[in-house]
Amino acid sequence: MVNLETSLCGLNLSNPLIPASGTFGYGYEFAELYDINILGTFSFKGTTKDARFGNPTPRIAECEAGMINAVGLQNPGVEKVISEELPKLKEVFNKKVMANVSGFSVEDYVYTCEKLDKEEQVGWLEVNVSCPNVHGGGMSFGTSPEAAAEVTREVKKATTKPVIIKLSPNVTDIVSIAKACEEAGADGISLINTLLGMRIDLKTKKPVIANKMGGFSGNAIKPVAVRMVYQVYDAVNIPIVGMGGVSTAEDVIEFMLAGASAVEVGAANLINPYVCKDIIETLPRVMEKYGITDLKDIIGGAH
Amino acid sequence: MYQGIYTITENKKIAKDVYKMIVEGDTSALTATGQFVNIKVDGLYLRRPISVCDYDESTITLIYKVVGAGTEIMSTKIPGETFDILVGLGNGYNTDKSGENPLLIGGGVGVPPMYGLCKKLVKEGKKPTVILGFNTADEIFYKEEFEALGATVYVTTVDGSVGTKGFVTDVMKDLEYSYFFTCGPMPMFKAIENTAVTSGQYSFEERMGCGFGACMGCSCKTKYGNKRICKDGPVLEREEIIW
Repeated sequence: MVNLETSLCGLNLSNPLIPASGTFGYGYEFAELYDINILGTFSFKGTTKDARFGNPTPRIAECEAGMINAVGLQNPGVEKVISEELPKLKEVFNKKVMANVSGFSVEDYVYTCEKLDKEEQVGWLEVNVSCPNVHGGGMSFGTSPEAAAEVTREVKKATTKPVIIKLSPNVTDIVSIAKACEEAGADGISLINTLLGMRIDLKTKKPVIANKMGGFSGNAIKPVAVRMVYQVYDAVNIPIVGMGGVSTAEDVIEFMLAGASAVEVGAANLINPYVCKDIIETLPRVMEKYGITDLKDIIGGAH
Repeated sequence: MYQGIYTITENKKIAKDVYKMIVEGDTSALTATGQFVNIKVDGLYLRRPISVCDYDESTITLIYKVVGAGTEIMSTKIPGETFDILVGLGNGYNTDKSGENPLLIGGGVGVPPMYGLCKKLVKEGKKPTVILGFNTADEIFYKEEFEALGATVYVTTVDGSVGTKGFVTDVMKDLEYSYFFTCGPMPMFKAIENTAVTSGQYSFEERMGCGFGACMGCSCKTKYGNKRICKDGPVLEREEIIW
């Protein structure tokens, strides 16, 4: 018998599988397909203070071994998420859920996190600092250690639940940003968000996506993600949620060896809606193949 | 929605760049005409959404035009080969409001879903009229199939090589109908919107990520709020569309 259990910021997970924000909605589309309570947890659609329609379409472009998206954080706003989405989520999911939060100012983050922190079903706040700071010249919070730390510090002051900062990979030195978040009180780090990318249509000779640029995800980004998880694991003492191109049980093990305590699955959910179920079912067999009896034992094992 | 492995029983060219593929497998997730399937093509990351032309207890008929890498690969497949397909996506057409004499308008590869819909309307005892719009003679397909269902069929071609020269609206403007259903390119939709004298339903296309409502890649604004083309559509009612 193998043990798939892990823990994240003091909360136990029956396994390390977490569908990533923006690829799993609020859970109920997938609950039509399988019992999503088999998941460790899931990170729900990125939520902002106000409702957002997001970017114009096309929002999606295909790449080799991946895709680019520029959805633009479409969501109904935190009040409606709490009044309409969370009650529906509760009907199909009985575990603690991860609330993914985005903002365009420190005040936005604090407002949204404070509201979601009060929701019983929310177990963790995953704070996406990849958004542009409207008061900081549009620079992403996640590209400066100071700005990322400020968001972390202010959110921590306003909340009681574990705060996981989700980092952007579009930076020169991810380690300094992770350390700044840890020093500011973050309970965990999740990485990586998507890599900034672009595709150009040869027929129209223009970018495929209306927003021109978007976030590149999928299998192709896995080596970048594994490397960043590995580097951050060396530098911080808080748990890491690893993600980027995960689509198999082998990928999960690779991320945990790099230093992840839990692993998110993103774009793969869009191609194979059963991918997380498949991974959970095949994980014991793959663990046995590599002589692993307890997943917790391999976290950071590659160091 | 159902994900399964489907076996190709037929895949043949029926017009210029247009292929008809029949796949065999579980069709229980199909609940309405106008729904679509999402096909995993080896070597390509995203699935390919293709509208359902027709289906029965064990087969699905898909008609697709070779327009890019995915459909190119699809066109090379032979009977016996398989595809991983997500089946039963989208809302499909609602025939409750059709009245006695609905008009069905298909443009190019917008023609296929009109066939299953026409079949259903005939079965419901209605008398559909069909307009099929193409650019030129060698692109035409399924005219006889629609006629075999007992529908009155008009063909238009932009170059006048077959049927009425011009656009579907050149025929539509002189017809009487109780309701309309359409699928085709956006310029045709806009022309229909300016010509139509009744309510109707339009089936939209958009670049999709997942095809089942998870990624918000294909959202649009409607008078009734934001909708996902893949999940809340692809069929929208005339009254809700913001042009």
